[in-house]
Amino acid sequence: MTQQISFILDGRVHQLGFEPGSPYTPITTVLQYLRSLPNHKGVKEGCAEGDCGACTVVLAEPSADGKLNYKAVNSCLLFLPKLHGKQLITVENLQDAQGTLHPVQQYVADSNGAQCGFCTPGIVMSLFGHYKTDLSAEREEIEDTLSGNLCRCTGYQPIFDAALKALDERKEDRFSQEEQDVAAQLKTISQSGVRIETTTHYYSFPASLQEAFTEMEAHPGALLLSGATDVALKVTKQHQQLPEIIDLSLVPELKKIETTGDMLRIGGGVSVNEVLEAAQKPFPALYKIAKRFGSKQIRHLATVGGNLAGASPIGDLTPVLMALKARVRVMRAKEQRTMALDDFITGYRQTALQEGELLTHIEIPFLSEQIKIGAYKISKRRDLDIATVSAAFRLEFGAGKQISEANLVYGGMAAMTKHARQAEDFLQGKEWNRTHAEAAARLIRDEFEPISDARSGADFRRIVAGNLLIRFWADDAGTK
Amino acid sequence: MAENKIIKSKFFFEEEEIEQLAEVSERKYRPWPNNDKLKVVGKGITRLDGYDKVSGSATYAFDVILPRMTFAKTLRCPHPHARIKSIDTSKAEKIKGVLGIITYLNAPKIKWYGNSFLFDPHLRYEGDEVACVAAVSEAIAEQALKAIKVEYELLPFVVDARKALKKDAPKLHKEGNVVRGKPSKYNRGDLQNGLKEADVVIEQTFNTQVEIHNPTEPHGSVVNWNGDHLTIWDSTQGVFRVRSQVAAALGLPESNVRVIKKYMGGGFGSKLEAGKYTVMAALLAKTIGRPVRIALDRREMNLAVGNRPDSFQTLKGAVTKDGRLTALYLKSIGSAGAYPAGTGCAWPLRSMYDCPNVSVEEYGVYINAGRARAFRAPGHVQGFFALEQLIDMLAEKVNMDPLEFRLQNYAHEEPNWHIPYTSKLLKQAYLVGAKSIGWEQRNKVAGSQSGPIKTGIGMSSQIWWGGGGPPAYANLKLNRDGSVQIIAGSQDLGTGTYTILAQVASEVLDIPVEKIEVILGDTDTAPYCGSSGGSTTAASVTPAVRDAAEQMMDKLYSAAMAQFDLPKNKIKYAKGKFSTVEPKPRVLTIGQLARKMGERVLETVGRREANPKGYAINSFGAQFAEVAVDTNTGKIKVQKIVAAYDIGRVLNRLTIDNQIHGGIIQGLGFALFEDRILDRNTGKMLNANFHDYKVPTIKDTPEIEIHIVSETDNRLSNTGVKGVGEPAMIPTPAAVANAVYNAIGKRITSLPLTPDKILMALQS
Ligand SMILES: Cc1cc2nc3c(=O)[nH]c(=O)nc-3n(C[C@H](O)[C@H](O)[C@H](O)COP(=O)(O)OP(=O)(O)OC[C@H]3O[C@@H](n4cnc5c(N)ncnc54)[C@H](O)[C@@H]3O)c2cc1C
Ligand code: FES
Ligand code: FES
Repeated sequence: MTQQISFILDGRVHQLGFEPGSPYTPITTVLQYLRSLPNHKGVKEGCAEGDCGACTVVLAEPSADGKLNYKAVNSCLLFLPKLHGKQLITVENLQDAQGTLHPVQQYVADSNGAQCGFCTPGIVMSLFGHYKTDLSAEREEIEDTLSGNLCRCTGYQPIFDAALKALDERKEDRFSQEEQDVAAQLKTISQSGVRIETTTHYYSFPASLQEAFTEMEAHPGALLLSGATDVALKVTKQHQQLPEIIDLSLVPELKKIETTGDMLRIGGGVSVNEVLEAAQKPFPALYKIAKRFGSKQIRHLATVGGNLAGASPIGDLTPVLMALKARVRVMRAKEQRTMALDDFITGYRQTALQEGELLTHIEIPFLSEQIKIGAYKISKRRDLDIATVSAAFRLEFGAGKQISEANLVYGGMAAMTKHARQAEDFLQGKEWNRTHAEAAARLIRDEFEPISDARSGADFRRIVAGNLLIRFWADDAGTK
Repeated sequence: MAENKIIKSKFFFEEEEIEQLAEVSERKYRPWPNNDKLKVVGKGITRLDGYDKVSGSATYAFDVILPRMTFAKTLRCPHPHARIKSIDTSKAEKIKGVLGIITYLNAPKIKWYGNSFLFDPHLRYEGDEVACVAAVSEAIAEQALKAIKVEYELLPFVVDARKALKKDAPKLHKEGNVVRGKPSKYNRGDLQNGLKEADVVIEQTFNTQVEIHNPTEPHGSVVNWNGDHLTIWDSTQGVFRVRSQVAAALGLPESNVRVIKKYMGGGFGSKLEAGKYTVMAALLAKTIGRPVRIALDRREMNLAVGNRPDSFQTLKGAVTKDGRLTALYLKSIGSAGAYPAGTGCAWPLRSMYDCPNVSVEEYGVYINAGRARAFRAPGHVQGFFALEQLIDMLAEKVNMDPLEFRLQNYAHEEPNWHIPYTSKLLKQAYLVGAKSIGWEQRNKVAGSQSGPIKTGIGMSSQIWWGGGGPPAYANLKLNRDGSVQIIAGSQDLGTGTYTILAQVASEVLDIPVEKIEVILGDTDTAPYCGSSGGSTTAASVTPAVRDAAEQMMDKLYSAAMAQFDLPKNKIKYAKGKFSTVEPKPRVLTIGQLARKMGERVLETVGRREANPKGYAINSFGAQFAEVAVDTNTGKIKVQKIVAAYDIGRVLNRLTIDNQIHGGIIQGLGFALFEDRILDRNTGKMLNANFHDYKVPTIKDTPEIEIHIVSETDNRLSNTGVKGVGEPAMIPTPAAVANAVYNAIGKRITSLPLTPDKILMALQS
């Protein structure tokens, strides 16, 4: 057990001990930390809640093959201890010693991608994160990388042009040369057993599931967190103190993705970004929804466990996972139980999780030919937006053309994610055609009583909920 | 003939016509030829400040660190309308690290917003300032805010302008809820006659929502006292304006206040005036004897530093069968917020078309919400949303093509004053834009496509001022090594002022732009320029720079003549070098020449010339939008925008395109989702953050095509430049709304055009 965290910044290992008198606490954000340093003022604060990207930095951590994985994240949502064992890269680090700009910087400058420039460091870092992966340089991929970076001046076109050029010409950069050294250095930082105790805070990183349960027993009041994208807002927006925290993000068992014979098993601590990668082939609907989840920076942090355990009625993953008949595995010390996701979500922000239990896995059965799946998210803005209404559909066909079982799951229509039961019953045994889709849509409109709120009116929610089923039919018919 | 002269200068800044005395240059220069004959001006030169910005080394007010600096945070009223009964700061004062707290009890009574004060115990909106704390860290200041105990007497509130006009509505100010006590009116011709003359009259209401500026950089200042001298690093669009306001508030001579702004993260109008925060920070800094940094957070920015006011507009339009406009009428109501602010939106209707009979009645109304401020083309974005839809409706009624209808009612002279324009190429803009979007492909019958996704094409015109005017000055310094500095009291909001001023000097002096350093935004060192707003910066300041540079050339020629002992016609100048062949070939660089002068720095002062008398100065343009509407979900996808503009001379093709792209995207945000939502029951803002207040992301960008139809406006100034920052945004929402109508055959008359409204319209 160590009392301090270690990470690499500006080419050297930094150690932070949180001793008395330290200006930092375990809930100081990386953004606050960087801005307190004299040489990292390029990292900007535009919102302190993950929505603008001005604070974007890149974290590098060793992967299994001895290389580094680079991920752009929102430093405003990152508690300092989360730097442990990682390399922190900011806009100031991109130039080489001679002052030559990194290609992502040079191209942004050359195409006038910076007007007022306040968003620019964040944009440069998002592009750098992309530069260091093997993601393509296609329009869609670039937009996906930048959808978490707001720019109020440029209209994005020059930034897009710069991105296209820089990513198209990707080559080895300074970071490639240093990669092995950095990875080796990071490996020397112990991944296990960091526990920080100060006069005001307790923050621990259990290094195994067992340790997590021991910690939970010893600190029954502690707040659990994984990606902390929800939890961090309690600090940055509500100014809460969060005296005890157990951070699950270094528990290896929670971070695995496995394929067993008939299912994909995803650890609760797997990030939404990794979920979407794993889902692309077997579960295109999950991939599609995960791709519209927050921004890339958020997806690097946010976990599937945090999303389901949060049980928000507008959480993005719940409807589609329900339609996929996902099962949830929860565990306490030695007991373990598995349940349908339908049974896991019990109410508005309520789950079947009991005191001392963790969500350890979700299991998604592979689909047979006889099953059609579709998922939709309606939001005000195209991206980085919470759903107004989301829907996920599953139709199972028997031997004939008839629907043997229908699952129509909606988010944003009630206090929790909910099935449209009447429409499901109606469709059972029917053929899947426009008339039946429209009739089912009418039932859907009648069976929910959604609320009117700042996002939209109740009538709109009702109408669109029905229309999405018709859209599902049309999309399905169109692909035949 | 005197070379400089003081005149009465009049021009439009944002919505206001300002009149002031100004010293102008009387020197006349040969107009520049078209850009293709120029070396630097008009070229797509990348920004000189690009490196600073991409490397993270650009310093914003926010980034200034001073020794012993402290941090201030503001306690804001949580209620829409209240009076402070008591306030107790004793607990907060005891927190370790808290250095000072000011409230209405211990701060000087400084007038603000007319009849209110810096700290006013009568609080008129959620966000009104209650107290300000300075502490050794922001976190401690934040903690102290929580520890301040305030007892409020809750007062009845009103957050809807139409309700605020009712007799029994709660009053915010003694004089009642109408700003200035009465509506503002305008009449020309005779409305009733115009209506009688017409064959078709349409009356329609249009509403637009409140939009928040939300520049990415928070408002904020760092302040530092040195004896009785105050230095302010501020994120501001007008350093001299901030200096005057802060000096007056603190009772200091202006000479004791220095305002500095190098880089800023956008303003869009919200940073045109001094903030209360700057004065609060200065008061705290004085008492605690340490520098103070104050930076607003996103929530405060949404509540307290301005917005585009909403509008409730009733329009009448009258036309003859053959499509001649005979009358236009507007009654509008707009929310000023809790304190006086401009809310008008009549200029489009008054000035876009040739219409003899026009009548306008406008009410600015107090409500219990954050006060409005100028926002990129104030009044015009709202006004055009209504006017240009009405025009389309009228055209449809008389079976005319909307574009033909606009050409038929084209204003060949300025309709308010009956004077000619310095230049007007709107017709060219219409034609180029229409061709480029494929105007003839729009639906002849709106909404006639089958299938769930329907596409449509629509357009909107725009007019703006943006000609700028004097006073604006620029100093040009030539150093002994041939390097050049331009110093002007203007500011670069991110628009590219640094770059275009260097280009103008480079054009005249025939030296590379890299040799020219531009220094802006410092009241102690720079000569006066106005605030950067109203799209006036380029139009006002570039002629002053040309004037300074031309004078420098004259000076250098004189020096070369003296040095070579030859008349001017025997000397040639090119690329920074004077040369002659008589009596033998000789060459002198301007640096070498400067070194021969006794003074180590050669200096000239450039002045903006007067605007031409008897002319209206306007920029023009049109945008064409192509949209696809999903009738299942109500989602609008804007696929393409074509923008065609008459903005005088293009100084830099890259910065112009930047401005237009940015304006269009802001216009799309306003058209599609940006909206301040106040809860009617609590009077509080429901979406005071970026999570719920949506601004466009990269995924909301359509394909954009830009055409500039003008070469230059030589009548206007020696550079021929009109501003483009605001024009870029004006027509977007109206063009999109007209395109949506063309797609679905339903008119959406209130902004934003949300899926909600589309689906409801389709259901009806
Ligand atoms: C800018 C922004 C955009 C967002 N966009 C979206 C979006 O588009 N769609 C969407 O659905 N959500 C969105 N969110 C919400 C949030 O990111 C997700 O809900 C995310 O999945 C939460 O995961 P996390 O790991 O960050 O959770 P944390 O914040 O770490 O935890 C959330 C909750 O889950 C509990 N928890 C975490 N892990 C476990 C576990 N293994 N077992 C038991 N309990 C656990 C925690 O105690 C906490 O109560 C957004 C958030 C932000 C800040
Ligand atoms: S500061 Fe806006 S995302 Fe972090
Ligand atoms: S350049 Fe100003 S916000 Fe992007």
